[in-house]
Amino acid sequence: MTHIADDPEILESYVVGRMEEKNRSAWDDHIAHCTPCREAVDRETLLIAGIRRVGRDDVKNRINSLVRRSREDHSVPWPRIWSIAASLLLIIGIGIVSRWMILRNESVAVPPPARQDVVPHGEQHNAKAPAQREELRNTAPPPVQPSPSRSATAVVQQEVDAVPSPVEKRMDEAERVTGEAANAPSALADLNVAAQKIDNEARSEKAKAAKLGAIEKMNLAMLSKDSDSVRVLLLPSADSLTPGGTTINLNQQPATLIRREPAGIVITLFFPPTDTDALRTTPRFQRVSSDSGIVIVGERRFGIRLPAKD
Amino acid sequence: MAVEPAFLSQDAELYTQIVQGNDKALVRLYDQCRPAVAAYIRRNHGTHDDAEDLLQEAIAILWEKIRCGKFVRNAALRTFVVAVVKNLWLRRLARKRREATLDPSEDATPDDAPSAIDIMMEEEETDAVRRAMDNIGAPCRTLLLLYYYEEKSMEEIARTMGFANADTAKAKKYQCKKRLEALMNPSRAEDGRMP
Repeated sequence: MTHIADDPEILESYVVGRMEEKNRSAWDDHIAHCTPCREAVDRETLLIAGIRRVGRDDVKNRINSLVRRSREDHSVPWPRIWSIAASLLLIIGIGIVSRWMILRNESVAVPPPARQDVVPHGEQHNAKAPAQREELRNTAPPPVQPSPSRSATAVVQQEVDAVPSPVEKRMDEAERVTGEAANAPSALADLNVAAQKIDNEARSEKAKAAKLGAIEKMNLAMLSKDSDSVRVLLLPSADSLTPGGTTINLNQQPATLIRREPAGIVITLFFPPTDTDALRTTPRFQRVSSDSGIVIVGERRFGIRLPAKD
Repeated sequence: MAVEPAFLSQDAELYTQIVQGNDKALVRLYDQCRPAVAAYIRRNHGTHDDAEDLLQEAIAILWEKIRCGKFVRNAALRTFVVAVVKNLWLRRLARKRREATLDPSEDATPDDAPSAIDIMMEEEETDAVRRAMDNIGAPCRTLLLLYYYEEKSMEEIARTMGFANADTAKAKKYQCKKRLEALMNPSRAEDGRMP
């Protein structure tokens, strides 16, 4: 053997240091003077050093992975914790919002009143009911002042004729309030009570008015009978008796003669002879009161004051 | 009978676990050495990554020596690791200074320290071997590492890898080495080196 490269095992043993000492010294002297051997030794050295470098890198990588794994095992998984916390917060937030929405819907479940002028508060309506009656009382037309010669029945009759609407107004008001109370929520019990009161008052007044009406009808019937004993005569007048002579004046009160006879009262009206329309008309008498009445001649009407009975 | 120092007792336990192949012992040793190593590297113009890399390198060297039976317990394991880190850092600093030098005449040092070109060629060769080892296949890779890195005997290799005997292991090792050189031949050819 001339060169160390001729035997790979010798070359390897020399490079890795497993050659016996005496052989190694001999090869040291040879390699110092032999370029091919020296190059072979260099190549073998680099090859083995490279293999050892790979081995050491494997150990380093294993240590690195062990250390990282140890840190991961002992470290606090903040990302995982934060993600779990965020999920929990989201769930809690959804629950809170849902609960709030449910409570909000329940609070607005009561429908608003149908009409704006209906007072939802019972006390406020109770305070208004008397005021409402007061208002109706105040808005009613003042009663007609009766004349001293007229009877109480006539006064009532005139009041009834002059004021037909208060009862109707109260009835309408009662119906309106009753209707509003019916539409209002059940919680408006006070409103219903007040409306019922008004209704009751209106009904009583209606009954009262009906009673008065019945009385008046009876009185009128009696007056109609009295009017049968009154006779009306229409005669042409002489020129000296008519205030306007022969001139026809439709608005002028004709001359009138009123006589009380045992059979009744005779009313004679004198018209101008040229007023043939009046003379040819059948007159009628309509008693207004016990001492007055209206004579109807065609389209004309004349008020007559009847003499009192002896 | 002299009482064994406390640190040796703790180190003994750690040493025993490393010998037995307990990876957790390496992690414990790593955590023990990290503060001192980080402080030293920072003081000497190094970074956190430098400290991490050198500490891993030093523990790997310790592991090699322990597994090869070449480690002499005359000091605490942490002391050994920190000392190795300091040597590695100084060597790295020296290499950086040499690599920065482009004029070969300035790189001609009288001592036996490798020049910048030598360092670069060495690193290039190491990268070639690393690439070839990645492509050689797992059985050959393991066999070559057991023999050249862990310095196991052929009998141990035959037992570990399931060969019939030591001679079979030896023949297999020879074949894998040739295969490795063949994979490295293209690099050698580009460099104009003789195969």
